[in-house]
Amino acid sequence: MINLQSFLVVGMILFLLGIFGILTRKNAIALLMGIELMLNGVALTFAAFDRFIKPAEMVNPIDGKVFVIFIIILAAAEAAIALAIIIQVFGRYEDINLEDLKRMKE
Amino acid sequence: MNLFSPYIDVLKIAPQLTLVVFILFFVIGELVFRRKIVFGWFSVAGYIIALIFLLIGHLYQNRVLFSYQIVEDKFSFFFTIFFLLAGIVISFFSFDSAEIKRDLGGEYFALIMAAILGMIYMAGAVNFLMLYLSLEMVSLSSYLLSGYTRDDKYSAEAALKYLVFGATASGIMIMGIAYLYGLTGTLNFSVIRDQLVSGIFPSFTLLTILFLIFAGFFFKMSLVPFHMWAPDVYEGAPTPVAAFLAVASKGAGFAIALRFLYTVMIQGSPLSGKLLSDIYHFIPVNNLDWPLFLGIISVLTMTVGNITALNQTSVKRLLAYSSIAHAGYMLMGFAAMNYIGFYAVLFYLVVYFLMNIGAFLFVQVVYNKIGTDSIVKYRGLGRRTPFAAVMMAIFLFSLAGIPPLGGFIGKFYLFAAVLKSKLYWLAVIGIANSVLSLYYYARIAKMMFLEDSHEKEKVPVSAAHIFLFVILGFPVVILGVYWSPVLEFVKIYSHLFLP
Repeated sequence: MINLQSFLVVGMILFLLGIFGILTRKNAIALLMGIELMLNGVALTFAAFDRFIKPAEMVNPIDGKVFVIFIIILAAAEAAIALAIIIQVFGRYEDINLEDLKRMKE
Repeated sequence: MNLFSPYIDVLKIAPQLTLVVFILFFVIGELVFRRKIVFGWFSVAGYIIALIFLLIGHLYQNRVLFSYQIVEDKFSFFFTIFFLLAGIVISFFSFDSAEIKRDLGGEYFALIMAAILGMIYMAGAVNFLMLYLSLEMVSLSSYLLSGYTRDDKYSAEAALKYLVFGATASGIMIMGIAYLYGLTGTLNFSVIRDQLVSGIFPSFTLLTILFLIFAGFFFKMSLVPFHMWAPDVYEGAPTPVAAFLAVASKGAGFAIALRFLYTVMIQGSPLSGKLLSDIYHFIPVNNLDWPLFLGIISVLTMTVGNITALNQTSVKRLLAYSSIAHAGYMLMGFAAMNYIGFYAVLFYLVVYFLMNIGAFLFVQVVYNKIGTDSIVKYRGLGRRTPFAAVMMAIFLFSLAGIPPLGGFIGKFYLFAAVLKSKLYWLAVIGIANSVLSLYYYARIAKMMFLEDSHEKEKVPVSAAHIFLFVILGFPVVILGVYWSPVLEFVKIYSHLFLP
């Protein structure tokens, strides 16, 4: 039976996979994928809570739905900006591997 | 009062609407105007018009707008003025910046204005949806701004690092918000508060949620586990943007953290005039010792910031670490958890605004001429540009907290708040840190005035920058001897409203 816990577990797995990806990957595109995964885990969690909390217990029944939509919109905006920046970085370094951008750490 | 009335009066947000109109105008105007500097003047005009609307519309009464998304109270009024003034100062700052001169156009000022619009909403957010949206609005504009210089590779690198850190921190924060929503069934600060007070939630879950949410706040305030982005970004970003992030963006972080802690988490009624000089208590969460927790974060932040700043070779990077340390000092006001601590943070933000932008301005002036911010190149600048160097010395000694300057008074109230709450260990460590910080601030001053270099060529200061030095430098000196008007202002405007 599919209940709230199932969704929360899947959401949390997505979230942790995203964090794991951000911590281990060095390629900028892979980092971006990690961020997207993380945000989608949160969106799933929100959607699950919105679906399973009884409407009577909710103050404003559309809060959760609205938040999910905004997460998706902002994830898209963030991806657009990230890709623009990655193109800039590539144009200057011919590389998008964060390990190679060591200048800052000298 | 009907909490969820759909009544929307757009005229009530005239200052914010003014900024929106100007942002759209910049985007279109980019196609029309050939001389790009004109946008700088337009943006100054935009902020001034917004300020006028704010002062006209401000009726000294609290109100909730847009179905309980934002609140207008004295606290948000204070921060709106703070951000609009920051916008004006940063616009003048950008006029004569060699780093962005070539690309200076409508979109630059539009991005700054968009970030400021987001900050204004952050200061008034009383709903987690609005909090997240406004925080992201600030973040997204800041990512683009820190990567603004087209020729400089480090600028793009800074932007990428900022984006990765920022997106991760805000992702962690909304996970916390999601679970808080799951517990309480709402995103509304006052309803969440009512439910937290009743204490029906599993306390360990609540503690985890709070730490997740703090990740987003700490990132914006650049407090210790989430401070690593600041030095890289401040160093790589164009200097006006670094100053903007160090002051306005950090101020927005403090605004949202103050509002969250002092309305949602506080026991008893939210801050109001009646509670003058009372000690506050936060809602107990899993026996978390709030003053100890905030105090430890504060100590870690100021110590890490100051110790790392000691052996920096780039002045911009040094100022980045110093701004981390200053976030630590300001957090002392949180840890004290009394009314003095609350307005001391606001007062310190005012002083910090003046002295930190001033210090970055000097970095800009030097960079325009010699194209570097390396500390050894500051030798003999006292002779090459006497006026700016003297101003820089004032800002540096004020940052260190030397008595007759504004920074000392700011620190004085923070320490007074901490002592009132009997957190003596925190005060001792704070004072030790202040002494430590004097070393690296004084080192720059020593380089400028006591050491000589073979370079004798004058470093010119443009008219806009002289104007800024005057309007930033004199208040720092005056606040050191006559600070009561600002203190009274800050006291009046440190009242939060939660319906």
